[in-house]
This record gives sequence, structure tokens and C-alpha cells, in this order.
Amino acid sequence: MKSPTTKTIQSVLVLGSGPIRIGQAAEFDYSGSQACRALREEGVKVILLNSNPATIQTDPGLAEVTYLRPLTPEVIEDILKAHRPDGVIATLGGQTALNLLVELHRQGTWERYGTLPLGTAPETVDEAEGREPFRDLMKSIGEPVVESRIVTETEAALEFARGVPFPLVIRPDFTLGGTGGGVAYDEGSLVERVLEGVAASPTSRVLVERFLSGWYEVEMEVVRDGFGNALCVCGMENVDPMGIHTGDSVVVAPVLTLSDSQWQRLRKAGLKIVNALDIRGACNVQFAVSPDMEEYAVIEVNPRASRSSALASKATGYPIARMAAKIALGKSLAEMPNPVTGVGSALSEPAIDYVAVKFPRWPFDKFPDADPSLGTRMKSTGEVLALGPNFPQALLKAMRSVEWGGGLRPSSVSEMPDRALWAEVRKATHRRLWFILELIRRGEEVEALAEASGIAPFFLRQMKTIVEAERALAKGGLGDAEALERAKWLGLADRDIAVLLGMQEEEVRKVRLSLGIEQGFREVDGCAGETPAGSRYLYGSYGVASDGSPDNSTPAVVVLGSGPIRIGQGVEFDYCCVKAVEALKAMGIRAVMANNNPETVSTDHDLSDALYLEPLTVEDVLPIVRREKARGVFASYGGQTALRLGMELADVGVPLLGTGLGAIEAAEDRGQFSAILKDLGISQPEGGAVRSAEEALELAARLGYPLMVRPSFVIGGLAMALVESEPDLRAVLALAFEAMPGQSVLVDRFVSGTEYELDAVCDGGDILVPGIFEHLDPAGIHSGDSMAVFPDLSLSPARREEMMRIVGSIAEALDVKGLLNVQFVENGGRLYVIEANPRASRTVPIAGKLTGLPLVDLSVRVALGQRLRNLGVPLGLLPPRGPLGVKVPVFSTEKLPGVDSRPGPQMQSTGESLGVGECVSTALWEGLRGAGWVLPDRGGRVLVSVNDVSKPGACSAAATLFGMGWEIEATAGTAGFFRRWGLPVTSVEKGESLVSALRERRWNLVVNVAGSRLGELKDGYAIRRAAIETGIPCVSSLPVASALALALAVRRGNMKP
Amino acid sequence: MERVTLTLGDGTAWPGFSANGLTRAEGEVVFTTASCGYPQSITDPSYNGQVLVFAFPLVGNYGVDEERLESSRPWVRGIIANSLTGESRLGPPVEEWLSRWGVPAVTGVDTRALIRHLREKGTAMGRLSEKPESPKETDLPHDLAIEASAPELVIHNEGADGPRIALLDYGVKANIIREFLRRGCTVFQCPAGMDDAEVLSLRPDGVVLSNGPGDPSWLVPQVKTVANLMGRLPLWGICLGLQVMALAAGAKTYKLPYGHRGVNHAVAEVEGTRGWITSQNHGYAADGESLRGTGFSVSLVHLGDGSVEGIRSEKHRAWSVQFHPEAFAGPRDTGFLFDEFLKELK
Repeated sequence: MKSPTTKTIQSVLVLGSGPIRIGQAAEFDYSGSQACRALREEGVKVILLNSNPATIQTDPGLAEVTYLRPLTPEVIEDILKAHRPDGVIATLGGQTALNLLVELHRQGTWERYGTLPLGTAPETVDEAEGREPFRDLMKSIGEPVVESRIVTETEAALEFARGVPFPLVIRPDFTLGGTGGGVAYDEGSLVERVLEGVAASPTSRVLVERFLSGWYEVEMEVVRDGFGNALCVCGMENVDPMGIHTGDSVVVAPVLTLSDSQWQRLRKAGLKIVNALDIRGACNVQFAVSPDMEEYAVIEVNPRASRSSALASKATGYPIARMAAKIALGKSLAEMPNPVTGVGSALSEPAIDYVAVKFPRWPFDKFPDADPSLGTRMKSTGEVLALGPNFPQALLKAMRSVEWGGGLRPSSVSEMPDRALWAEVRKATHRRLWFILELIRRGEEVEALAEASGIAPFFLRQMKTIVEAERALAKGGLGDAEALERAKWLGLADRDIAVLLGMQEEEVRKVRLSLGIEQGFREVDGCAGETPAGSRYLYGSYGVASDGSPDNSTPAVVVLGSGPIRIGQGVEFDYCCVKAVEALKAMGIRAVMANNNPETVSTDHDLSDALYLEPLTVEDVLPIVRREKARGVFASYGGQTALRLGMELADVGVPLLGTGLGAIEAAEDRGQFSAILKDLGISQPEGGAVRSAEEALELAARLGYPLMVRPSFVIGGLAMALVESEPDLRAVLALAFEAMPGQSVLVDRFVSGTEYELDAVCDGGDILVPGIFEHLDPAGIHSGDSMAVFPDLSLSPARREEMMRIVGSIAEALDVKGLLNVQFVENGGRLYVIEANPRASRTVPIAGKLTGLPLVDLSVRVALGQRLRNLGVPLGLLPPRGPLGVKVPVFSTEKLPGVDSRPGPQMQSTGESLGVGECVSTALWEGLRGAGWVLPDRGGRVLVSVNDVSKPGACSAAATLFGMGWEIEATAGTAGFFRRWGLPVTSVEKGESLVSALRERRWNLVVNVAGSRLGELKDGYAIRRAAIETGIPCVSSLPVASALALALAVRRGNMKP
Repeated sequence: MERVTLTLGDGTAWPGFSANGLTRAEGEVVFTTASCGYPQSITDPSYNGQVLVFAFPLVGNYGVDEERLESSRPWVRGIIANSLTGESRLGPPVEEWLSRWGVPAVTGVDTRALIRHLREKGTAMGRLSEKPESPKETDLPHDLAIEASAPELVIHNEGADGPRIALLDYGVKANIIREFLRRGCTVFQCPAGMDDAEVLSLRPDGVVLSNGPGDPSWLVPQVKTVANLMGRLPLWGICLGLQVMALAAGAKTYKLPYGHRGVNHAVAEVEGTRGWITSQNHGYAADGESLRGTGFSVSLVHLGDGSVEGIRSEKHRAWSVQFHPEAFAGPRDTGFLFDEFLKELK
């Protein structure tokens, strides 16, 4: 065995995970920031590298030195040169950091700078992640693996298939969330999947593996130190069968259906594997378990903190990343105190006395074209966790936490014919559990459902108890106290009961409370109640006594979280919540956090004075407010989820702190907001509010097309669209009214131009604006998907003053006390306001980080009555100072087959990177690299295909590239235009040959600005989709193409020849 | 379902329902924090005289796996769970299996609140009955181990090539025997009443003191037997066996406030850097201080409360562990101790 670290470690480079994408979400902000705190606790100087600005980890104060720069070998080498850290920790930044650890180890970089890889060694990573070495190791220690072969081309895969029965699973080497993987049922689909997989794998290799149909999946999180001490933090059982990615599976902890011998056999194998790999830190081991649970096979091992380790940490209270960081410094588990209870040892295995259910959140509401069936590719963007004393209660809490809408029995489900329900269950679509419940209601047998879904009968029988409770309640009504008690015990929400009985939720609540049926609150203690813990990490349940009451002698405020990570509501809102918690604590106010997302920093119970892991609904949060005797809630930091919940809480008498209910309602209801702007004399795109399709068509006839259609109550532009014709308008309206019937929908004339946005802190008198973002993408593209420069490049001083005047009058009209985000578009010398949101926005962390202004902290203080002028900060619009930043969105559309990546008013990106520099060119370059764009330093080859209006602009961008030695290729029309300017260009034919050339990576860059006519869209779609799948950078708006060409030219010019 | 109430000696009452129609029992109320392995727990003779409360709320998720039990019958006098799920994947539902032996299975109790109470007030006698009824007894009978022990000598795997193990049975778990048999040993399962001469007449290569129920200080003749055997051949004790060994060496034992029952207990070497996760089920412990001068020293400690988890005397060729290396239920991380003991025999 290699000996534990002997060198004294004084400084450590910590690698973060970069932008949020499917397969790599907020969990690494949680593990990474926890690790930074743990290292500093040990007196170690932390140097951090992460390109994701929306994270807590990159906030000043967590590391001694923070680099908001791309996670690339070159950048790391710069840092090593400058700081010569003693060690590097790369096991807490996801696959991105781990790949860099291995790459730089191969290049001898760590050794060259005397930087020791801490924790699990690069050799171990190779052994655990390289399929062949891993299989050899498993063989040598006698652990079964699934029959498989590594292939690089289709012939070898077909040969393997001759010896092993179909179906087969295809898994590419070293990818996030199983990108490019899939199941093949015959030779044809095998060839297809292998080609995709080879393209997706950085090593161009894929594993073809026997698909264990009908098997179950069990995983465990193990922590091991350099002395060989190890514990299994948590066993987790996938409710979904093998073949559905564990990130897309409903997962339950602890393992519920295995007997002791069956579970201990797996646990023993897990520890044996972790020992053989000499893991020092966290490790995830996944097993396939046969239908009778007597046989198993090792599926894979992740030698790092992962989504599962974050889940295990939140399910048990055991902070895995923190322990892993300390182990990396050479500490022993046996010498460290128990991190949950404070007494006893860190080596004690957590024991829990509740059931934890993780439920994924998928983006299919954003991508109606995406295939919602689940398989080996992960498609979810986030997840929720719920705790309860039984499986049904935890499951139903989780199912309402994902905010899918429609409750437990939406009419869309109850109206579906049996056959359709069965088909969905067999296909395993994202709503299968709703469908299964419906089939149980219709009297279907558990055995048949188990057969169709692959879900173990145990879970289905447990779900059946929910249906039985519904039946009893439907029969007895609210008068049947026993039935009501039973329904609550099994997790039925007041809202579901109201729907079931055809009543109002408020009535159900009243009757329930009159019967004394209320939640009790229990503490997550990691020891099943054996010793007192004092973790102040709580969950609620019906039918249980509380573990004592909180000390609520000092004032408290509840911060409402943002729920699962989804498109439009990412980690930036968790950032704001955490900053609000910190601000409250700094003010001596008890900060109570309510959230349900296990991946995030906000659900790290060390940070708040009390953490409630609960669904974000009135029923679940109101008792928290009462129990903590909170002065009120903050609804403005957790995005749209918190805002909606805050409004509902205000309706039942809970004070909203900061900006009041009236203002939020006014800003949220676009009709009302539009009237306010009109009163204030502020320009806005001409339009009106409608409540039905008929009204909309009438208005459209008056305004003319194109139109921007925006429903109220949206997240990230959901159901928002730019429409150019009447049929399009009808389609969009249908979607909007389905999302929320009867809501007001704003139909506006679409104003093209440049978009700007800003975040202000308003205290009722003074206003602080740290700067203005200028969008590089044109109006019409959702602000979350747009590249943006901070501070702005093009505004005149007069224009900036005009914006400040507008912000001032909106703040005054709405009486904003806290944050206000305003979006503008400039067109023809006029400034229009498109949106104003009196809450934290996506850009708050960025503006705060670039200017060093603690925006959230200031807004909390203002909301609680302090004045900006007394807080020692500048007032008004901050003059541009410090570095420049470029925000670059990151999309995960490569994970979602069928989805078009053409940006529009619907937000599609999952995350972002921030490039920081002294000039736009550098910042843009850094931002793009941080977002994973790979562009040649010198010449390359570009494909240009643009619509007519974009041709002159595209020509000038192409000419810039040409000047740097790029080869220009273009589709026929575009090429013709370029030739007229004398730009040497090769014509490329549209269609199949173009797509296959893309797949062969003929180009380094694609510029595709599509027209909106159907044919153009179709051509563009094929190009964009192929570019996405092969990872070729694809630019789809002209201003970005120009900016990119400029930045490349400047960079080239500055390079030494 | 019939209503049942658990009444503790302190008068507190804990309502629930009988899942198998049986409602009456009395015993010492203890809890385990293990989340699976209930069939092994209820058949572990160390639970003789006790009513077992499960901290994990779902019990019965796979039935009773009858071919893997720790003895052929339940030894608990009753079980108390939050929910009994009534599953039968691997055998009969646990409540049904218990009803064959007249043992009540209680469900619907707020077990976390009950465990918090036990943790604060300590292990207590309790009575199960339809209406609250105070326990009749204040203490358990002192012959629990004798009752759980084999009534006469049982020889397992007679004539095997491996070492001959004399297993002093105070209520041994089946898996201790299975572990030796797997390693090719002949096991002489000796009734708790056997004296040292009878044990030695079996020509054992080593003696194992088993686990078992109750207070070790009740086992006066057994302690004497062990004292007489000490130093004559290698001795190894497990759980109650450790306590008997400690008493035989002249040390003291004491009752823990609410015991160690679970599968997550960390123990570590007193000298050295290693620690292990262990399965535990005991209400008494050896007093480490009192070992001074006996030739024994504390080799392992519990990382939660610092209590004695291992003792050792080179002089006496004897050592013991307080936990269960044979697992069932629980982790098998310390199964290597069986090999270590067997290594000493030749």
C-alpha cells in the first residue's frame, strides 16, 4: 500500500467543475465549497480554479486566491507557475477536474511543479475509469463484472454481439452523464449507437456491454482514508431498473428491499473494491443486482465526490466532501470526530431512521421536441430529495417538490386511455410514476406493473397504499378523521386531497388543523436517534412527535430556496439564498433555510441556523415559519419558485420581507406592469394583455407580426415565443393556457435591437447599480442564453442616465426594497423596457463578483430597514472600474436527442461560464474556453451558412478570419455573396453530405444564422444538431460571430509569431 | 388491528397496534438502529428476555429468510416497529412467523420518540398489553443464558481435519458456528453448565466463549470454568464472552445506559491506526480500569463512548472482542478475526 501523505501540505490548488450542464450540476459547488472550508479549517492556503461565476465556491472568502478562469491545462500551468502549491485536489470537482488531474499527470505537469495530487491518486483514477484496467482489477480480486468489450469501431462491436445476446448497452469512455450511450436491440441500432458513442468519447472508445434486463441497480458511497479505514456512508437503491441512468432514476436510501445477507455481500464487495483501488476520499460503487437479488455484478466506480455523494451526504447528514478533503491532507477517519453529532467518531457509519427519496427534474417542459423516454443517457438537469418515515410519504413529498405542476392526478393523466398509460410505463418516460399510480387506481395488478416497468414489486405495493388511502378518503370524506390521518401519513398533500374531494385546499387545511393533524419535525442526526446531535437539519412528517422545539427566543427569518436545478433556475439562485443566509447571520438574525435540492450549498446544514429539507409549498413551509416564530420570509432570492411560494404565503398572512406582495404581483402580472410603465411614461414594446386566444388574435391583427408572446408566471421564458405568423401564435397560446389556464398573456410587437440589463439594490430612496450588462446576442434571444459583456460597451452617458432614471421610477412605483432586475432593448434611438423583476436575477452573482459589491448582503440589510447610504457603499450607477467580464452560456442540448439548439426567447442553457479580462477580446476568449469551446489559436476552417439579412455582416466576420489564415467555406447562397466581395470561399452543398462532413469534424467553427421560414429552419436544424453532437462550436447570431472574429484577430495579433 | 400499548417501568405509555393478534409480553425494552437484518436480530439468543424496538421505520420488507437465521426460534419477547410492511419475498411475513411462537409484533408506534425516551431514561422493563399495564417484574430472570444455551453437547462436523473448537455456549449465534465450520473446524458446542475438566476432555485446540443474553455477573459457575481454562489453551471471547473473560480475569463489568445495538459501530485499536465498523448487541461492558493488574489490557475501544471493545492477555493466551465479527446482521469487516484466532491454535 502506498503510504499516506507525508509531505506537509501548506497550500492546495482545488479544481472546480466549471459550468452547470446535464450530468454535472450544483453538487460540485456543494462538495467544492465544503472542501475549501474544510481545508481552511486545517490552516491550508486554498487556491481555487473554477470558471463558473454563479457558485458559492468562487465567492471571495472561500479560497485565499480564486481564479475565475477556464479549466484547461494551460490555465492550470499558469497557476502552478505563480503559486507553486504543495498539493492539488481534483476529486471534488466532478469529471471535469478528474480528467484534468489525469491529463496533467500524464504530461508530468504536477511533478514538474512539485505539486502533489492529494487524495485518490491519478493512477487510481486511470484504474477505476479506464474500462479495461478496471475489469482486470475486478477479475484479480474476484469481483464479477458484466460481459463487455471495448471497441473503437463498429466491426468489433458486431463481432462481440455474435457471442452475447442482445440487448447490449453502449457506454462511451470518460463522459458526463453517459453522453452518447444507449441500448441496442439489434445490429442496426448497435452500429448507430457505437458511432455516436465513439464521437462522444474523448478517447474515441466505447464499451459494449451485455444489458442485464430485469436487474436492479444498487449503489453505495464509501469513504476511505490513507490508513485503510473505510465506511459505507449510505447504500442507495434505484427504484428504476438497470438501463435507466442512475441520474434519471428515482433513488431511495437506505436500501429497502435487500435482506441483510444480500446487502452485506454488496457492502463487502464495495469495500474490497475501494481497498484494491487504494481510494483516499470518496468513492461511488454501482452494482447490478439480479431479479432474485442473489447475484450481482459491478457496473462502475466513480473515484470522486459525485452527485450520489452529495445525495448520500444530504440523506444522512454525513459531509462526505469535507471528510474527503481532510483525508486528502493525510488525516485518519478514526481520529476525526463525528461530523454530524459532534460526539463519537467520523468512522461510525451513519444509521438513519427515515426513508430518503431522490426524484429527478427533467427539462422536457422546455423541450417539447425532446424524447422523454429514459435510458442510459442522463437527461435530467436537477433533482429533489425528500425525507419521511415511510416510502409513500417521502415519495409524494419528492413528487410535489419537482414542481411539475398538476399535482398527483392531473387531468392529462386521468383522461389517458389505459393503453397509452401502459405504453408510457413500458417506455419509462419521465412521468411513469404518475401513470403507474393511475393504473393502480384503475385496478391493475402490481405484478403486471412490475413486469412492464421493471420496478420491484415492493415499491409498487407501497405505492398501492397511496391509492388505497385515496379511496378510503374519497369514500369517507373529511369527516373520516382516521382516513384523513392515514392519507397524511402516506404523504398526500392538502392540495391533492382537495382535488380528490372537489374542495379548496384551504378548506382541507382548516379541517385537518381542527382535527389536530399537523407535522412534527425530526432532526437528521446520522445515528437513528441513538445520541443527541444538534444538527438543526430537520424534516417534517405527519403522525410523529417533534424532537423538541427550536430555541426561538431570537428573531428568525426563513429564506425560501429555489428547488431543483432546471433550465432558467440554476445554481445562481442557490448562490443568492446562501448569501442571504450569511447576511442574516452576520446581522445576528437566525437564518432558517427551506429548500429541497440535495445538490446545493444551501442544503448544507452547517451554513444556516436551521435547515428544513421540505417541499416548497404552503402546506410544508407555513409550519416552519410558525414553529421558528419567524418575522417573515425572503422570497426574492430563490428565483420564480420562491417568489410564487412567497406570494401564496403572503396570502395566508406571512410577512414578505423587503419588496411587498403588491409590487411582486404588479411586476409579475404583465398587464398590470405594462399599465404602470405607461403611467410612468416609460416606453415599452406596443402590445397588450389577453386572457384568451380570441383576444390575442384580435390584438395581433392590430399590431402586425413579428410578435413576442409572453405569459405571466414564467420561469426562464417558459412558453414564451417569438411568432411570425398566425398559426404559430395559435400554437404558442395553446401551450401558455395549458401551463396556467386563464392567466394573462402579453402580446407585444417584437422590438429588435441590442438588449441591456442591470441589477439594482433599492432602499426606497437610494439606488445602487453596479453596472450594466450589454447582450451580444440580439433581442429575441432569451437573456439567459445570450452572451453578455459587463460593463456595457456601447451606451452613451446620456443613455445610462436615462436607464437610471427609469430604474428609479420603477423602483419608486413598485416600492422596491431590495433587488430589482430591469431589461431594456435599444432600437432606433429609443429605449424600451422589456422586463422588470423585483428579485435576485441570474446576473447578480456576476455583477457582484466583478465589482466586489456584496449585492445580496446589501439587499438583505435594506429589506430589514437599513439605508444604503449608511452601509458605506457608493450610490447610483457605479462608473466602470476593474476587469471586464463576458458571460457565456453553456447548453446541454447534446444530451437531448432531437432538440434544436437555435436560440430563441425560450431559455435553453443549463449554465454559464464567465471570462474575465482587461479587454473584451481576452474576456470573451476566456469565457468561451470556460464554456468548453475549443478554437484553434491560429488558422482553422469555418463553415458559414446565414440568411440574407446577415450576409454582409457574416462576410465581414469571415473576412477577419480569412485575414488570420482561416479557410472559409459556405453554403451556396452565402458563398455567392462572399465571392462578390472577392472573399475566397469553397462552396458546400446542403444536405446529407454536409451533415456527414460535420460528423467527421471537417470544420473548427460553424456560423449558422437561420432564417425563420420553415425550410431554412429545417436546413439549419440539421447543421446545428450535427455540430452539437460532435462538439463543434456553433455560433447562431451575427453579433456574436463578429465579436468572436474580432477577439480571435486581436488574440492572434498579440501572439508571438 | 388490535390496539396494544407498551407501558414502561416509569409509567409512560406508547400506543400501537398488534400486527399478529398477539398483545401480551413483558421484557427489557431495548432498541437497534440497524435498517435491515430483522430476521437475524429476532433469532439472536442474546435478545432473550427483551422486547426489541426497531429504529428503522420499515420492518418486514422481505419476510423472514428462514435458512439464514441465527437460531431456529425467536428469542425476543416482542418486537415494536413503526411500520410492518408484511412482505414475503424471502419467506413468511415477520409478524406471521412470530405468531407461530406466540411473540407479539407491534406496529404503528412512534419509535423515534420511544428511542429518544430510552436513550434519556435508559433501558427499562416494559409490558405489552391491550390496555396500559405496568410491568410486573423489575428485573429479568438470571438464567437467560442457560435457557438459551444448548441443553447438551452438540458436535458439529465431527472428524474434520481442522482445529477442534470447544464453543462454550451461552446462547451462541448460529453464524459463529458456521464461520468455524466454513474453515474446516470441528465445533463442540458445550452447554453453559459444562466445567473445565469436561471441556478439556474434548481435547480442544482452542476455546471460544460465545455471545449471549443478560448480565455476565449472573454466570458465576461459567466464570469459574473460564478462569480455570485460562492459560491452558488459546481462548477467544465474543460479546458476552468478553465480559465473562474479564470477570474470570478478576475485572469488573457494568451496565451501559442503553446498550449498543446496531450495525454501524466504529471501534479502533488502542495502539495503531486501524478502525472497523462492527455489528453490536450488548447491554453490558467490561470496565477497562478494573483490568489493571489482571494481565489483560484493553486492545480496542468504541469510538462513540470509549467503552472497552477488545481485551487481550499474551500471558493467558486469551483475547476477546465485544462486537460480532460473525455479523448476521451487519457488516463483515472483522470476519478476519476468525482466521486470526485459528492461526493461534497451532
